[in-house]
Amino acid sequence: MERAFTPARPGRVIALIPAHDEEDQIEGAIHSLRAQSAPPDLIVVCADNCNDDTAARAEGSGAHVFETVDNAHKKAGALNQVLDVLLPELDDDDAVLVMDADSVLAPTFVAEAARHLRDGIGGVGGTFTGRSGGGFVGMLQRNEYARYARDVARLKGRVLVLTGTATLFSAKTLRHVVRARAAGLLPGGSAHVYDTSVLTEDNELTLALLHLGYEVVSPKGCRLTTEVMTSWRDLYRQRLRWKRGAVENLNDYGLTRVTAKYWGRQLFTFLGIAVTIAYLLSLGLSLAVDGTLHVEPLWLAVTGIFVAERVVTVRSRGPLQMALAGVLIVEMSFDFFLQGVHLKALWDAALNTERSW
Amino acid sequence: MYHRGLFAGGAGTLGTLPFTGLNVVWVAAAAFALLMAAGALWRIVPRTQA
Repeated sequence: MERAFTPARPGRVIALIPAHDEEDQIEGAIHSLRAQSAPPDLIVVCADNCNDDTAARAEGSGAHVFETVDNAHKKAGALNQVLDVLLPELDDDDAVLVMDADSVLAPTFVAEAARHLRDGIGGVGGTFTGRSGGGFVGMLQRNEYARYARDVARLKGRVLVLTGTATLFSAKTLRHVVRARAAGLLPGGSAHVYDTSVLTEDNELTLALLHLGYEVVSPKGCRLTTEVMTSWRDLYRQRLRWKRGAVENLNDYGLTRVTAKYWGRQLFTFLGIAVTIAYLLSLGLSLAVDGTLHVEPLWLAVTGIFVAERVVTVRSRGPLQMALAGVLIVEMSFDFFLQGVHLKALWDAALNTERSW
Repeated sequence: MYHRGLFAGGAGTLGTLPFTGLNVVWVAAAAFALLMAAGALWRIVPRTQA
């Protein structure tokens, strides 16, 4: 490892892929890095407590393998271990690409991200699309991701979070984070890049960067694909972790100039859930009392707006998905599901129940 | 990502909210639905993408 980190020229890009039992996907991730128009100077797979062939396959694909030692903090702990070794060896204008083992980058990702990584930009993330598979639940996630990508593009790359799927940071910025944590200016309590006490380390790092005065972006050219959850059960676990993690991150930072809009979105989401519950109750009541529902033109028009929104925003997924989106009820199950998970996440966060992920 | 999903999702649900005939009881909910409709319109309007 020491030899591999010897500086060769300024502006290098080092790719880090944390991996726990990812033998089925690691080669795809590495291949997508090697196929970049501007390939990383070094690819390091952080093999974390692997019981499969991840390390061997990574080496076979030409990556360096960093085996974690006594890591009990999952992905964040694995990344901290390798970054503790890596960062002191890097120049300020070197960059670190952190990506998931289940991500496959578009060929221009690294070049585009490096182009956008200038002073004041804390990190450059990607916009992702969902990989095939998963049947109905997979389809819903692919639609969700397509809408997210559309939103990000319309906001000219402005995002709320740099996701762990793939993000490029400058070494200088990451060192700034480490110093700030050590000085107690950020949560985390130790001199590492990632806060190992949280469920969503990427969201927390985004908040850290924003509090240090950086901006975060996900340019249109930084595209990637990521896996989707293939069952409702897996999706539930994933989203519960994401949503609870997001709430707990906000709680850690409190109400600040940076977090105000995040808190606002949380409040808005909560109101949305309350209204949904009221809606369902009213439906039941109306049917029980009147035995019928009253349709009013104004609200029919409003419903038409929502139908149009659902259809237009999923245009990138093709005519079939647009047609399905036009029937609100198809995607409504997903909305109810996400709202239920959100309530559970709020409940768990409020009661500080035991975490499992 | 961790914050956006329910925004759009709730919109579809809310569209049919006042079909219940209980509009008076649910004025606040209806106001919220209108707010969401405004957001939906914003998302429909063509806009230059980065």
